[in-house]
Amino acid sequence: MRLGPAGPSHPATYYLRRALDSARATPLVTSVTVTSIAVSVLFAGAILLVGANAYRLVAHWGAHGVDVSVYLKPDLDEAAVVGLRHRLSEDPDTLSVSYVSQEEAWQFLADNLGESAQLLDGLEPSVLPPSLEIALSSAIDEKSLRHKLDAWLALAEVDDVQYNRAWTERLGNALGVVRWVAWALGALALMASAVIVGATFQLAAFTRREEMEVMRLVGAVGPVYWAPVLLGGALQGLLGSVGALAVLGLVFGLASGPLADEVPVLASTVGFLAVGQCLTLVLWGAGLGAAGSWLGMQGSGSWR
Amino acid sequence: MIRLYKLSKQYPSGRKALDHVSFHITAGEFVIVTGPSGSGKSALLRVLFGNEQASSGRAVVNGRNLERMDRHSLAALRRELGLVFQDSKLIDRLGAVDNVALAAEVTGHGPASARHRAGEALTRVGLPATLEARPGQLSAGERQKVALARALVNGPALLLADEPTGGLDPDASLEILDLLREVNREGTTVLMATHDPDTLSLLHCRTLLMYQGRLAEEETLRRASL
Repeated sequence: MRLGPAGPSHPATYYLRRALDSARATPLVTSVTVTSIAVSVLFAGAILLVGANAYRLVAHWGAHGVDVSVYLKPDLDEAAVVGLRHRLSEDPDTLSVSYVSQEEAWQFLADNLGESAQLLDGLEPSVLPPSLEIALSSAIDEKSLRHKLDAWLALAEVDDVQYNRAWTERLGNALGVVRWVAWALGALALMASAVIVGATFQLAAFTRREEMEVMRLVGAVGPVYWAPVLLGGALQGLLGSVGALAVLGLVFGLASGPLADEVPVLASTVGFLAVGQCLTLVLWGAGLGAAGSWLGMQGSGSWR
Repeated sequence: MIRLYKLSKQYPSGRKALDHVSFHITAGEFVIVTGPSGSGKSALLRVLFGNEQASSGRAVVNGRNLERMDRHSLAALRRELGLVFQDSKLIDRLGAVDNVALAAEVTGHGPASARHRAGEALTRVGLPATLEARPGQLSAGERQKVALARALVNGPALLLADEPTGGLDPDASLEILDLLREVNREGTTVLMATHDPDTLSLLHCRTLLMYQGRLAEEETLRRASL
């Protein structure tokens, strides 16, 4: 017999076996590769986790809507107040409307002043205006809000309108900052990963340089040449990223309980990465491993 | 089997490894290329199995023109050849059978079939068919036999051997040379590079003398060896 079939063709199990054999034969290099990918995925996962939770927290604070205080003219009769309250509650963006009388406002102010409430001595509740406290949906945009409040200010029964615009603006800005910081750290993590993993795969490529040379000398080409290498890299990446997620999950589980005890709002808002995010990180790790192996293979010598 | 016409190889440094080398080897021949170190023997073999590209001239090996070969046609050529090197070039992490089987696997044989063929090739060179020892656990002579078995496992039409007895003791050298002669008798064309005078004295066959990249008159050497 002179020759076998013209083109090499093997099942995936063959490539898998060769990839696993190769990994087993070089345990140190394999461990270093898996660890470097795990570190890079851990770094990226931690950034993603902190970023996602910071965003959730900020969004939670802003989710209860926009609070507007509509101060009424002091000589308004009850029918006018009821009529205005009814009109404002029919606004599609209004979530709730509550009336605060002069006495209630006085009491609220006194309660808030606490020990300094004596500052109010000698003053009458009538110095404070009655108001309608309105909660608007958080979905309302800034332009519509401004337009709506201008319209309310123009009403005959209304003396003044105030709302927590500064707070909502700060929230919006904070969300923007969170996004940018997450992107910047993500890019930094990507670069750090590229450096760490690149160096590791150079080591792996050096280790397998002779093997790849022998493969080329016996005429290996196509999948029989590159598939075991790529599959090996992807498996190492998969292992590293799953390990990194396990560590991240463990640290999160240990830290989130005591944190929630200290800051109750965290208990309902903070959570681990979503399934989709975990899958993305695992795929990223596997892709990183495969890409590193490919680059290492390119550097393992030429055909000529 | 091999036809060279004014083949030259010049490195970027300006050094000429091959200078207008022309010869023709027909199927079934056993040919030795000899000459002092740096004469171009190994460079010639590297060009013949496509590890290096000639700077000029023409080379046809087993019907394939080496001038324009992409990665796939180069791999196809190597699957048709058997290659043996002085340093064996075995994969350290694989046992002897798997080292030989690898060459069969790249031609499309499944693992079981490849190992079966590897066993046959190992038996042919005088080693156990189930030899699982890794290269590091074998003697130099045994490593070279494993390398020879790998070169033979696909039944090559042409065997290129670059200093296959280099570094071996006399007995091991003799065994390798006997095996190469046997392979040749069975129909495989053999082209072997060596600078060892003992080897030359043992093999009375067509000999090509190279000096400074050039091919000397082969008849001169043939007369001298007689």
